[in-house]
Amino acid sequence: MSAALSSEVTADLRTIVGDQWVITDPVRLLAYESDGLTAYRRPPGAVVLPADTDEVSQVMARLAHAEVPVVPRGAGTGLSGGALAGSDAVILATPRMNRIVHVDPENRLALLQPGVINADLTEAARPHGLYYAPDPSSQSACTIGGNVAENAGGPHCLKYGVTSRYVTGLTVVLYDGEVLRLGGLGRDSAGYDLTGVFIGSEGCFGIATEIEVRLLPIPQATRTLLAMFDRLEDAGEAVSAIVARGLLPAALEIIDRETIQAVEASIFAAGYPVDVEAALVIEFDGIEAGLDFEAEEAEGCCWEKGAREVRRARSERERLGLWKGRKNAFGAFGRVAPDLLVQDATVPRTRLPEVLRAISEIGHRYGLRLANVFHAGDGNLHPNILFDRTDEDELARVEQASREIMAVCVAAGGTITGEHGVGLDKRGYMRLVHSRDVLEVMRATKKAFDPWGGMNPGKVLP
Amino acid sequence: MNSPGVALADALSGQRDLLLTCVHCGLCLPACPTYVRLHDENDSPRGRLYLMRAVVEGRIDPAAEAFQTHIDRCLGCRACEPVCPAGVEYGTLLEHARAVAVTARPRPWFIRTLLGVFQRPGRTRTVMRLSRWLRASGLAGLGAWVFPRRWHTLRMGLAMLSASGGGKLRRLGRRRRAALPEAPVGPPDAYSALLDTDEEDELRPARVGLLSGCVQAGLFERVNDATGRVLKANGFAAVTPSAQGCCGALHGHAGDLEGARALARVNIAAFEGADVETVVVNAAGCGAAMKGYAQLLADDAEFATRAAAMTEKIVDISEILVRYGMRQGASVPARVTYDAPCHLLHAQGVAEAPLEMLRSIPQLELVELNGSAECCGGAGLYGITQGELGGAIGSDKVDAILETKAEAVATGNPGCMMHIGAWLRFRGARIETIHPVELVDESYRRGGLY
Amino acid sequence: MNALAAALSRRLPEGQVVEGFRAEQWAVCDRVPQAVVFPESESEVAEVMRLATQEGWTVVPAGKGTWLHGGQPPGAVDVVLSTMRMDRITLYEPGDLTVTAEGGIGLDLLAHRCGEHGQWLPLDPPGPRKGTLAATVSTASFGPLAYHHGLPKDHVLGVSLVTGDGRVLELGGRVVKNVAGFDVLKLTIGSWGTLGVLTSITTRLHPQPPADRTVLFRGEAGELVALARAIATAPAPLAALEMLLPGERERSGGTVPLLAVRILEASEATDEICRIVTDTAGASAFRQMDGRASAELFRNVEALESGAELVVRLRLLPSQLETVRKHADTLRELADPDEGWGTRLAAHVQCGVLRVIISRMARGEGWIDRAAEVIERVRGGLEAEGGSLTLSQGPSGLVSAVGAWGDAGSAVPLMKALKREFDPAGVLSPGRFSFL
Ligand SMILES: Cc1cc2nc3c(=O)[nH]c(=O)nc-3n(C[C@H](O)[C@H](O)[C@@H](O)COP(=O)(O)OP(=O)(O)OC[C@H]3O[C@@H](n4cnc5c(N)ncnc54)[C@H](O)[C@@H]3O)c2cc1C
Ligand SMILES: Cc1cc2nc3c(=O)[nH]c(=O)nc-3n(C[C@H](O)[C@H](O)[C@H](O)COP(=O)(O)OP(=O)(O)OC[C@H]3O[C@@H](n4cnc5c(N)ncnc54)[C@H](O)[C@@H]3O)c2cc1C
Ligand code: SF4
Ligand code: SF4
Repeated sequence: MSAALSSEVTADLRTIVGDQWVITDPVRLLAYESDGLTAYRRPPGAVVLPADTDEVSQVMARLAHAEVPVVPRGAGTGLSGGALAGSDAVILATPRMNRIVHVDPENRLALLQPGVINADLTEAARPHGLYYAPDPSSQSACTIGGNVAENAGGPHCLKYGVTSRYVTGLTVVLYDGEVLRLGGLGRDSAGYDLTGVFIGSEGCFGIATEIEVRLLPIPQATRTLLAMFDRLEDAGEAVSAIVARGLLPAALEIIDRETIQAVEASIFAAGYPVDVEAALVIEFDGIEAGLDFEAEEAEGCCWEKGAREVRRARSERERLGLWKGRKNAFGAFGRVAPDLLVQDATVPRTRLPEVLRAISEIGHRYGLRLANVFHAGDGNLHPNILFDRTDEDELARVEQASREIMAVCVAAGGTITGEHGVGLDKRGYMRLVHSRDVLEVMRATKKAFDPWGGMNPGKVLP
Repeated sequence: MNSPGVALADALSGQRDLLLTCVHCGLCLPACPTYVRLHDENDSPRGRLYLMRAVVEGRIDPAAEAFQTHIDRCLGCRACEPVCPAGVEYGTLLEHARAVAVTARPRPWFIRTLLGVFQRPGRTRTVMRLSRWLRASGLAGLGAWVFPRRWHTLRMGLAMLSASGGGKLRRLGRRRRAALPEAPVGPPDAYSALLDTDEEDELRPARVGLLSGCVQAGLFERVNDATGRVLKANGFAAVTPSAQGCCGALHGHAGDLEGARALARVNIAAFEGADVETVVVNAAGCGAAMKGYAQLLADDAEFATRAAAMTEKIVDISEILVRYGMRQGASVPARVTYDAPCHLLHAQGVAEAPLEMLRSIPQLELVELNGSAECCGGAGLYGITQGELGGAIGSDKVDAILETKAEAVATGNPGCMMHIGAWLRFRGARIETIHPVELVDESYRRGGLY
Repeated sequence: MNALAAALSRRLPEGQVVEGFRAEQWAVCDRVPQAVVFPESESEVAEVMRLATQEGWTVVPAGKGTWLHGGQPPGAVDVVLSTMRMDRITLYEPGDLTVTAEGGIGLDLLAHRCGEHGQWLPLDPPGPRKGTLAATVSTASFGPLAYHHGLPKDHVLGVSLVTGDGRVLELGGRVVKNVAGFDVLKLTIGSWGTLGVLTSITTRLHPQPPADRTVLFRGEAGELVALARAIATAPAPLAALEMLLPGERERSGGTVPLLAVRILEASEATDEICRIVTDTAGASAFRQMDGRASAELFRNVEALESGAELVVRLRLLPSQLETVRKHADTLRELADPDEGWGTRLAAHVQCGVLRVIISRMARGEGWIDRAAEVIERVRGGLEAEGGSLTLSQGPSGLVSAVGAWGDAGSAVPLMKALKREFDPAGVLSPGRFSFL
């Protein structure tokens, strides 16, 4: 396919959505050539900003007719290059579809358009004593549509699970403009779980234009601890010890020394000691009674594994303070090195210490700066490689090292991406984890939704 | 690309390192009032930074329509700064981008004229005199009322002028007064605070400089007077060196960096001459600009260190009062809301001090304003140059203000006072727009402190 | 031995193929298979499937065979393939809170092994505990715990699936977060043996709750619905909220309608949650059960359907529980008032699911047609409000007539395409989903 994007087509798009909601000026298209991962750049042929399901359907039908591929885009915070389109394709962005259709406290549900920002949903639910559980670190900006497409996780999914657990129904527009309604909490759907398979489809199946999600009651109380360790492995061991004790924290996050130093050098300095090898954030939430006991047990685990210091938040302000280093880590790297490659491999939790060791060894071997900040409770690692793209030799080493890190994680029983998705970036690693037959089935599944091949082509599958 | 744009991009190229700290994470998008309304990533902080980067990389010509439009449409409110995990210094970058943009394509005549006026104190005074006459004669208010909407620039300008006239402070809260017991006039607790300062506290300055500002001096003399009185009541002697001039904020924001630098040098010299350790500013925009002198003159061999020293001295009126403890006046039992000026909240990071200052007024009912942290759309000359968008933003702000059912809205920046005032006027709302320090002043007056 | 069974025995080790009268107990909705096979490894399963595709034999996967009559009756059943001999735990690392087991493991055995490490899989589907993990996943069965602890799709991290033509697909993985490629795994959960045979499953585990308590309220149905709705919106983590209305004949025997609130939290928190529940309810509990007694009660809830002739599942939004109950009441006329318990109603209040469990249907001239008509009317009513009616189990004729599930709507072509990919020859449980 991929006929060139003709002015006839864009003119029709303008008729459908209104003149100012179609961008074709090449200079203005530059802003859309990357998402949260700047390693990839490709400006789209055009950007369309429809207002609702109906407009999406019309836009898609028109583009399908002209055989122009479509790439959905939410806030563009994705970290795998998923929301990029080539010059022969059109980006369909959702920021105008940012309406919370309703919050239904009685059923603990909300119905949303896809462009609603994750944190805005929680804000809207708060007056009802409810919140939306999946909390990617980008939650202040990323959209629910993007979360659905990536099956996003977050620091608190150790206890609460990822996006797929909270999405109960979808309205989806397929490439030819057909509108499908899937799932819904109030009914048993007949046949295969199409809602389930759509979540995490990275914009390759269709566009989610309405999303029904479950909300949870806001936990009565939280306890947050920050433990400092002189060895990264000890922090990993503490995580295992906490789990082995039968505790289920809401979050278990580790930040290593390189990261602490970057954060402390930034405007978001959080007061972490810069000479420790690792800081572990532990959070419990739930009913007030009993939380202290859990927190003490966890603290005990930390001392047992050689913690140097354990801090406990006494107020919401202090809690935010303890989290600060973790939350601002990604951005802080921007001050340390011009380029950043964030990996997202997941390994079984018990393999964490050995995998961390192996990763650090790889970093040394290739002479690269590595910073680790990760969801330790889930075994979801985020090794960040800090480098300078203009140094070609370094760039080559970064690529080599990445591949080796992936291989180590897969060999430990893990996978190549835990929450950021494959997008453009990790297609090359897909064969590390999937057999030919499985990749074939994935291809066929995409084909069932998109027989025309017009949705986000060239992503996910190798 | 081999266009004249490349040479122009030099001004931005110097900022390459600052630009590179942007990791393109997108966390700033929802904070940006223009993105939230226009939904185009080019109208987001990340998009604008990307355009700047494209200029530096020689990929686009700064004269390009898109670059001009999107850089122009930025409010300069800097709401994108506090949310940025990478600490991108957006405000600084914007000024450089504006400089590049105007060199590539000069601004319309009225903007140039306006900036020219503020460049020279003599001209400023003349124009201000004329403006005051327009305001006093009622012609400004009338014009804003009768001119057709499509004469936006003129209509807005006149409405803002008319709105600068000041509120009926003396009447505030009188209606409800009887119902409430009079609070005792407290002791000058500034002095008691002085006794129990711990060692880290800086010594309380006895003499402070006061920036009179151009618009502030010209149209808001009453605010300057109130500031002076309140400072004095709290034991600070305020001096206003006559050699000072406009702070240069408008020039910087409009991309006239050279103009801004020239003014900065004048002010640095003026306040050095006054021999003060602290310079108090009551206009958020001016305060932000002066706190930025160090950046602005970083490459100036003669002025770099002097500018850095100057930057250290700048405080907002609310900061100095709250830092050293303030006296209490009589009650002003009015329902008041507070709108945070962007250049105080985002650019200077001063969030709590103005609120604390207002809370110190007995029986003042301070109601929270929804979206107080968001720009009012005034943004210097924005309300005039970007009529439609500034209008949409201003109108949302007015909606929020009306929702509070307050009698007055307090905000510490002349631009915001005028812009919000103008929009309240367009709506026919009878809500006063005042500077927070005016309320303190009124409370002191009622308490007989002077 | 029939030809089919003979062909299979040649490919499989001794003792894995059964036919004749011994196959009768594996009948699927009255359809007796020509052979039942009990493979012991994945490769043997693959071998059977390759042969079946080659020969065009229809295959119905099974576990212990306790619920083969559930759902729409398959059109033809040549072979029943039971995975019950594949019941090993292949990888269990308690520190990971995950376990990998062969599909034929009984839920009881799995619970026992994990319990030794203080862990559990919070799945409590209807039926006996010996039912297999693969069957539970394949039918996406769930019970009272699902709202709080999650549905099978929320627990399952990875599976091995043998497709209709004998391909072995490893879908998902064994880590708790995994977005490497499209989540095809989700299609297999609730696929009812139409996409493949589940041979291995990795699931998440949870630490066993330190305390188990059930608080019981009693009252008339209408009161309990109101109470249930109030408690459902209490700001506290409730493990289960079940409304249990006994059958007419049980009532006359003295059994009372109950609302059961289960709490599975640390003991200090349990007391606090109890307080929140009673405060919200504005009523005092009639009884409280702790530990073993609480668990026992819910074990009985799992067994509510045992021996029933007809089970109908009604679903609307939780807030519409009262409407659902009214619909349920119209189904009472299908029951024989003098047999068994009559009509039991049981609701997962937080999910908006209400099960109508009829002990024995009233017979008489044209009873199937009459029942079909009543059920279709109720289904129409629920669907008009956005809900659904599912026939969990019932006489084959009835299920065939009204269909176990409602309409799959415009997604049918898409599902057909998926089915073709997994099972090109269409040999797996054909007709289980009537619309495919
Ligand atoms: C009386 C009773 C009532 C029940 N009511 C309900 C109910 O209302 N809702 C509900 O969801 N569940 C219900 N169940 C099902 C039950 O919860 C579980 O599915 C489980 O207990 C069945 O175990 P089994 O091994 O005997 O399954 P079987 O009876 O052997 O199989 C059940 C289903 O699963 C499929 N299956 C079995 N093994 C595999 C495999 N390895 N690969 C692929 N497919 C396979 C079969 O094809 C069949 O459709 C009921 C069970 C019983 C006994
Ligand atoms: C600082 C930072 C921290 C992050 N932390 C986390 C984290 O903790 N956990 C985590 O999971 N992720 C995290 N991410 C990654 C990213 O935020 C998530 O992947 C997020 O879900 C992307 O949402 P978006 O709206 O930005 O989508 P985009 O980046 O715009 O798009 C992502 C993908 O979704 C598709 N898409 C978007 N909208 C739709 C739609 N309506 N229908 C169909 N497809 C659609 C796009 O085509 C693309 O493939 C982080 C990113 C950053 C920059
Ligand atoms: S938040 Fe900061 S780093 Fe992120 S895109 Fe915006 S400016 Fe760049
Ligand atoms: S300064 Fe204000 S308007 Fe400009 S990009 Fe930043 S947030 Fe947006």
